[in-house]
Amino acid sequence: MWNLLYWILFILSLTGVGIFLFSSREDRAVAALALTFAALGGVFALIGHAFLGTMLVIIYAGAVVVGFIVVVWLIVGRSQEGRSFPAVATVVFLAIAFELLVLFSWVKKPLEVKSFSPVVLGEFFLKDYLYLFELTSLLILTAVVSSLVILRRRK
Amino acid sequence: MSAFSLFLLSALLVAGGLAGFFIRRDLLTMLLSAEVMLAGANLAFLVFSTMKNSIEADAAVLVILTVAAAEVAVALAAIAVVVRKKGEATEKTVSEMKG
Repeated sequence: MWNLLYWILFILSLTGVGIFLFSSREDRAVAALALTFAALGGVFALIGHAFLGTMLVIIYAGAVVVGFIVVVWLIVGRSQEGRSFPAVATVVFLAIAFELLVLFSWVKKPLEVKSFSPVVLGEFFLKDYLYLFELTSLLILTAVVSSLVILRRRK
Repeated sequence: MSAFSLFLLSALLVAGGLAGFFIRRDLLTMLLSAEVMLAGANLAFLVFSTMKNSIEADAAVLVILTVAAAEVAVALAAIAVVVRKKGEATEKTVSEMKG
């Protein structure tokens, strides 16, 4: 069963990449990658890294892809052209819902890999690599401030 | 679900990202192609992590995710500025800009 689930996620992730590569519209290409990242998050969970899979879904599908779509719509401005595809949207929604179900309920039963839990990862960062952890948070802060500065700069 | 199939998925994602980077001309999709490549590399890291039962690769993946998010924030702002100035954000318009 887990093999079947893996191959479904395998096909979903490559389908997203395929749509991304061959779609002529930027917003659809970007949205297709949400499917890829969601499926990839499921693959992460299947190999025992449910926490990182969740992070991948939250950061990429939740933040990065949404940020890209907002930029495409607001700045490039191509949201009004073309047809809508409710069936495709339904399939993507069901895939992501299935994905979340895998991440939060099923995966802990067959894969009991204790060493990859968030607790161990948190201890690893906060005890062994505290400076790296703090440096990463500083990097995010710098990125946020610098992007605001870039956008607010006047001519 | 063998290690080979996981590495195959990782390689296909990196190849897809690489193809997107060279096929597409606009900066947004080029940047996203880089993200796809990073996701494929992350998968390879995690497969190695599972095989070796080591937490270091997990930590590396978390740092890569964070750095990628920061990179996207700055890159999107830069793309927005390029679009404001040039009307579009393609490889050509950026290469025409001089500091």
